[in-house]
Order: sequence, then structure tokens, then C-alpha cells
Amino acid sequence: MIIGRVIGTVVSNVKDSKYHGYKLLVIKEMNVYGGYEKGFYIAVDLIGAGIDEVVMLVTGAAARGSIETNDKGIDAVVTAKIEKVLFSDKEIALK
Amino acid sequence: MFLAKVIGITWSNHKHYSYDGIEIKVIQDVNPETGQLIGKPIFALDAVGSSIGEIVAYEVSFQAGWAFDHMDVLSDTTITAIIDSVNITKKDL
Repeated sequence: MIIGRVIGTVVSNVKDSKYHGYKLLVIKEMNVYGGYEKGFYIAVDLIGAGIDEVVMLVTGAAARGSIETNDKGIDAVVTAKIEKVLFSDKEIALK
Repeated sequence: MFLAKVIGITWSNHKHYSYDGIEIKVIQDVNPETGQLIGKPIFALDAVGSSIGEIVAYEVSFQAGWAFDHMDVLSDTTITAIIDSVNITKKDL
């Protein structure tokens, strides 16, 4: 899985009916040390994440592995907020 | 499946209900010939209870969610084995 910061939301009036009820977030990719990477993602929010939070993304076919996303055209979901990463020699707070 | 080393653990209070009791680890690929770390670190769910410094095997993609007892875990990278040793026979190609 990868992590990223929520930098916005997507508004869409015309969309696949299976997306109804889910928020779509714009996410800027980060590395494990808290720096930014090049990529951006649009992901379905399953946990109620807010703007500016650091979240973990499940991408690809695995994003359809839960009851909520089964049989839907979804390939990126937000599944956890990451608060802190602990390494053997240092601790990084992702806020 | 790939060989990797567990290099970190994460704190997460707010997560999907399917992650109850499951830890999220930070892993980085290991070259099996030299033991050196290669590539970029990534996040993985832990199905076996590994700890920092251990060499593990992880699986990716859709079937990564099947490593757990219940079938609806959202995961595209799961640690599925702790590796004790690796045997490699070198041959001149």
C-alpha cells in the first residue's frame, strides 16, 4: 500500500451509479518518510477522511475486496489514517 | 511473492473496520543474493506477527486480502511468512 495527503475532493454530477454515496478524494502521493512523490490519485473514501490528513491507499483489484466495493468499478480506496511511522532509529509524525 | 525486510511500524487510530487487530508495517525489498535493501519502502498488512528487522515474504495484488481469516480485508500487500534462511546456488550463466 502507499500513503498520501488528502488535498481536495472531486465533485461529479454524471457518474457511474455504483459510486453513489461515496466521497471521492484527491490524494497527493507521499513516501514513508513524509516527503512528497510525483503521483496523484482519485480514491473512494471508506473511513471519512478529511482534508490535509495523511491516509493509506489500497490500489488495483484489491480495492474491490470489501463488502462496500465488491463488484464496483473502483481501483483505489482510502482505508486508514496514518498518524506516525516508527523506524528502528527514528520516529516520524505524519501530520 | 517477494522477499523484504520489516523496517518500521505505524500508528493508526482511525482505520477501516476490516483492519481490527491487524498491524500495518513498513517493508523494503531485499536482494536475496546480497541481503541489501533495494527499491522504495512500502506499507503492508501483517498476517503473521513480524517485528522490525525480520526478513519476510509478502504477496501483492488481489489475493493479498485472502491471507486473513475473514475474506473482506482490503489489502494489496500482505506479509505472509517470516523467512528463516535463504539458500541460493550460484551458477555461471
